[in-house]
Amino acid sequence: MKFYRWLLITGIGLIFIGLIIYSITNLWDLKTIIPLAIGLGLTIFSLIKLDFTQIIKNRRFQYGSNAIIVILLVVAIVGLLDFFLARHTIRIDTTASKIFSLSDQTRKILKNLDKDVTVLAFVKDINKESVEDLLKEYAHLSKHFKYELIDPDEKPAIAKRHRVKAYGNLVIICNDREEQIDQATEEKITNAIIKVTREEKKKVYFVSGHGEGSITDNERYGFSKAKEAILEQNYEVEDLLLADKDSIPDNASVIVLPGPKKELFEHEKEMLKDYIDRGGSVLLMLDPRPSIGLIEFLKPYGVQVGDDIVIDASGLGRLFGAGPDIPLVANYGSHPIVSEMGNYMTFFPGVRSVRKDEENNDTKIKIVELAKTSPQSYAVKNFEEMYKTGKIKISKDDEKGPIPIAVAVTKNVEKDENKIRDKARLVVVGDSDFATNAYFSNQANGDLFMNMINWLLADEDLISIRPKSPDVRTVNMTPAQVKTVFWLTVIILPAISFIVGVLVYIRRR
Amino acid sequence: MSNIIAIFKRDARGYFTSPIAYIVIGLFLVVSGIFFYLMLRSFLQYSYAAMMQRAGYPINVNLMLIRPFLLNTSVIILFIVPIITMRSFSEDKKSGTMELLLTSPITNSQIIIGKFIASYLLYTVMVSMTFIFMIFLFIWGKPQFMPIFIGYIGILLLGAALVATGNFISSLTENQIVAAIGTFGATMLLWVIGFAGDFAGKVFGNILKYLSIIEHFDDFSKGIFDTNHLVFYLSLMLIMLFLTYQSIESSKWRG
Repeated sequence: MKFYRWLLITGIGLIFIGLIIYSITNLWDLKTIIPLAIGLGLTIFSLIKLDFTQIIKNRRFQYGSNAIIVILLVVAIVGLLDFFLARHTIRIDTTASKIFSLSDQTRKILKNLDKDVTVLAFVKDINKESVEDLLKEYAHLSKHFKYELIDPDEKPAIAKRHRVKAYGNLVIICNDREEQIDQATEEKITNAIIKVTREEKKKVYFVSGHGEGSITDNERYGFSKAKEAILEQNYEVEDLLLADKDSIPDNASVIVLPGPKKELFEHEKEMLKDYIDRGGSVLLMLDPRPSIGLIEFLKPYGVQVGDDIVIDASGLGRLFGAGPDIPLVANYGSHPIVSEMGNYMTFFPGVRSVRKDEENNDTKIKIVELAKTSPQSYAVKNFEEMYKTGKIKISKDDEKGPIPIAVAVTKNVEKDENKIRDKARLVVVGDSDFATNAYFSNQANGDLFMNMINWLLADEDLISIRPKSPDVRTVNMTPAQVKTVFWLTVIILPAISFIVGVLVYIRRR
Repeated sequence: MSNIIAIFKRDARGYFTSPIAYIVIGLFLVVSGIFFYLMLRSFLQYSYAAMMQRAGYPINVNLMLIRPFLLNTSVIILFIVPIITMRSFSEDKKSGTMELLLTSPITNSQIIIGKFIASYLLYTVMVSMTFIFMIFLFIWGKPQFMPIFIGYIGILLLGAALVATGNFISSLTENQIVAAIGTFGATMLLWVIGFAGDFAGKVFGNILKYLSIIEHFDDFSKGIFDTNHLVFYLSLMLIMLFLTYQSIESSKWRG
């Protein structure tokens, strides 16, 4: 009798083990089926041997099983109720500045989310809490949103697989697309979700056919590194042979002219002009030599491209192994492209001046000078000889620095059926080498280039969300007051409670 | 109703005329008081440092002091509740008064509700004492009231679920020590069960995470009121009260 009772318990135990294994692996394989089958067999066998009918007739068994069934039923009903109520929750954030509430834009995006998005947050302990608070709010709003906090030191393999660049970075994943952001702010997370879930990828075209550097070229003067950086942001990069096209492709988000060495054909210029006038974005990188005729092309946009080369006499570049013909730039204008550059330096090997044309007073145009060389630099006009001999010669009439070398232009677009955006965007740089493979990783060159591309992309889908911060609520106490609190909370209050307890005890005796 | 009140009065008197209630409250106040004092001090140090540097994150006492304090208190509660509830049924069972109660015209559910309210009253008195700490903050600073209010609602809901659990386990045994240790084990299990959720499969893991009792308190400590957590605590309380009922009923046929 006793043996079979143990057999019954073993059988039920095995069934449970089988179910637990299934819940972990989610697979019906031998590991789950074997314990389940053996457990089931043992249970039935021992029940037969224990004379099943006898047990059932037992009064205690009847009451007991009744109670168990009722309990299971009640638990199941309450559980189901919870499950349904959990889908329709009311959530009220009572904090004064609503720090735990997401913006309406994010809510809308999460509501329409129909693909699974996973966020991997590679955070260390210090930031963990605030990051989790934020991600939790996202998870509350969509069942397609999952997140995981990962310590990059504990799980370096995962960090490596997602090419995590720094502590605190977040990787947003949707199917095979990934987007990495460096800060857990609502704006960045939501925009990353928009990017990875977007149906069609946007394209960045590099114009070819005029001796420009190529995006497939891995050598010094190629743009393969720039291409990689753009790909990482979930945009596509492609070559564009302008000459055999009738117009700029419709799916173009940005057109890059990476240092053309030959004149553009008239019809190519027409295409570009038409594209810009419809609200397109163009990045023009024009080297001092060979100088091509885009100078005239740019005049209507208020951009003045100088026929000169900037020589940096400050000697600062020497610290980084750069000669005077590679001006160092650490002086940036006020513009979204350069707002985060701070004191980071950028190199421009062989750069010509590009400045705002003060005489242009077209009200539709807004133009900002992005970067200037040091005050000890000169815009040298007659540099043909310098090119031949390699000797630097600064003459008296050469303009003294700071020399502007890059501008950003926005132009309002008039009513147009084929309008791409409300505002055309144009960035003109007096150099193309700064973004080539040779210099892309030097100092902040790559960052500057990517900032330009990102500004030109001007994703209308992307949104801006004002960052929330808690309201200021301080407590001001003198050390004496803190001490009072200590005495009151740790000594006096508990002591009162204990004394009352003793008094009660004495009175009862 | 009058029967419930009669049971409630009897049990409440039992708590407050014996030193146990005062010792539990005193103990709880010492522990949470020390934590409050230490957290207050480091919060003040942090805010002075931040003021000197005139930079960084805005100082917010609700987020930086009250929230961690409430979270901390919720964990202390896990340790204290077993002491509160250990005697509710066990003592009557041991002294034989339980049989008198069961044979009296008072129904079992009235007994259970009366006893639950009595031990819950002790719990409520105990946790509301910590509100004095908040008053200090209002005297010398300007915390926001609503998140604190929501936090205390959370503590009361958490307590309802825990006290009901303690009552159930106390109804299983006539030994108070066993009841206390059993309740402690149960509360610990309800606390750590969520961690297991990370390792289990998807559906099962989500269920385990849902059962984690402290996880549901997190939103309350932030000042967020979410009906999801309200439903969780109330249903846990109801299930535990129902189990207590079954456990009392079973004495009829268990023999």
